[in-house]
Amino acid sequence: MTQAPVTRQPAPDEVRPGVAPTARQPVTWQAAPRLRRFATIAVAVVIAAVLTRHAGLLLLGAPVLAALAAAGRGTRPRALDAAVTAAPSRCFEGEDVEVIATLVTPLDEVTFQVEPGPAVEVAEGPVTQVVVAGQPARARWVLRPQAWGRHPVCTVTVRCTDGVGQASLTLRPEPIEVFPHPPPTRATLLPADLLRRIGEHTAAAPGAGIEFFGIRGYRPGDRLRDLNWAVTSRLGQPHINQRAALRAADLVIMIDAFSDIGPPGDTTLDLAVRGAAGLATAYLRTGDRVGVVVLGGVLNWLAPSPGNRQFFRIVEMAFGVRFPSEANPDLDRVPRTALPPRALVVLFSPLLDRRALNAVTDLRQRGVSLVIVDVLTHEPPAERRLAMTQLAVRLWRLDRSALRASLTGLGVPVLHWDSGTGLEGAQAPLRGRRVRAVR
Amino acid sequence: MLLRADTLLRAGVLLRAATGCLGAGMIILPAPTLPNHGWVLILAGLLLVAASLAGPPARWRAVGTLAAAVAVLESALGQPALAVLAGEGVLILGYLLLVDAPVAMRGAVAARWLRLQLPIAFWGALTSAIVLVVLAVPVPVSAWLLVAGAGAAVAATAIALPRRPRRPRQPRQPR
Repeated sequence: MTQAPVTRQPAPDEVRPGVAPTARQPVTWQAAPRLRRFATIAVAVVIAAVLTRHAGLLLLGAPVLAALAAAGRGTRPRALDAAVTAAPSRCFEGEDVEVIATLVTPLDEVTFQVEPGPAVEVAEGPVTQVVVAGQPARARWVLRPQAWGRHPVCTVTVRCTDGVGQASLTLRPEPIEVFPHPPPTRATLLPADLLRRIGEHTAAAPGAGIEFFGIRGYRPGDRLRDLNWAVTSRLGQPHINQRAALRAADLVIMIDAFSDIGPPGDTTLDLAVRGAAGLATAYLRTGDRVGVVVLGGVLNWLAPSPGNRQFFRIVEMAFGVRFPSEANPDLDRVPRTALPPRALVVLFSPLLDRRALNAVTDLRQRGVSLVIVDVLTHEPPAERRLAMTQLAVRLWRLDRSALRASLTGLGVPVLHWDSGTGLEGAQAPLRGRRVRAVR
Repeated sequence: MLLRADTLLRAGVLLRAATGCLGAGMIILPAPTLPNHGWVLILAGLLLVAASLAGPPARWRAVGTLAAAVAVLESALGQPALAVLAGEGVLILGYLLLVDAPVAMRGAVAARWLRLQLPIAFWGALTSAIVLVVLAVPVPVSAWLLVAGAGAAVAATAIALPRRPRRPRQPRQPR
């Protein structure tokens, strides 16, 4: 006995893919601009006919009045079935997000207009789309968010015209999570003292790695394949090659969220979080543990941890950093697990807020290996015609140089990173050097 | 993407061109009968028509209404023949219909939108023809005619005004 294949019938309220589930939106109908226009001209014609005592002028208004009478009044609903969706709900900066607005209620003319949010560009589809002739209306756009964060990508204004009535709706899709696009980089910044844990960084101690470390005399138990034949034959005694040990590192990324300067999508905070995402990706890829401490607003931290999931934990924590605050961060509140003693601390900061500089002093007193990445890329605007403003900008530049020099003098390397270049280029001054703890 | 933009542009330009032609026609048609300083009105009317088609003033809806009002003023001052007035009325209606057209429409959508306007244009032209016939028949000047016209205008406006939909009556429950 064979069973007939069972085909699954979709439930009546099941949502088809690509079609947004609609919701009843109450609307207020008003007179359409066409009605006002026609009525104005009709009244003008009647007044002109009366004043000039010329009945023939009524011929000017007759077609307009007939059009007014012929315009369909219809049965305008008090609420419209409309919806807007944005998919996917999670993406990286620069990736496409499809926005679909739907109006199920059939009307004469429906105009959809999308207004992208800050730092969001329309990649596909005209900004204004018109659907006519009473069919269920649908408009589609592809938007490209260029700034990370949890925010609505756009606002869709729907203007409905039915006969001589007009109504408008404002639809907002659910906020989507835009992850920062990590710039390409490698885990080259390392503290002088690596951890005892096995990792992928070459340590300054002999071990079982692959990098050459040194040559020493043969001892019983050494592998014969490690014999350095050239040295052995020259000295007449067996010598072997030593390899450097491979160790892991802990990285703590600090984000200075006290200042947020620059155009939307390219602010210092945007840059800082992108840099943090890039470093986190690079170090997590090599099996290191990465943690984060956010200075600004409420002091937040995430203890170092390995694995890909840590990247998303870090990024989701960064979503909450845009929070203006006057509070001073107290790094004593950060537990030892979140700021391990032998960890490398990389602070992304525009070095504008005194509280961030106080935090640098605090970290120095704790004796951590610290690197500062300056993310300020915009200078104060200078008016070319006004010599005083140019002088002020020059003074500002000198002040910045003095600040960096004083930090470098204290033993804290300051790197400058511009969003136009990769993070690896910014790390070049420290390539081949270990970051030492300073006190 | 480029193709769609091109189609959008073409449909929009064609509609705007048609609107411009109708607008220019409604301004120029009563021009021969205008008095000496009538060129000022023609110039103002043409400028308003041009402004209603493109540029920032096109967003201001009153510009199109003002252009049509200038045409009415020209006819009132010039008092052209009845046939010219009938044609002028149809041109005004056509211009007012098209000046409302949404800017961003693809070719197929624009055609469907134009088809939606056809019944209105048809009824307008038919009414104009009927009024023309009625006025062409020689009848003594009567105030009643004006009163009837004014009454028709008020009635048409009252009929066309949007109303709240009536709540459907609840069906009776069978006992």
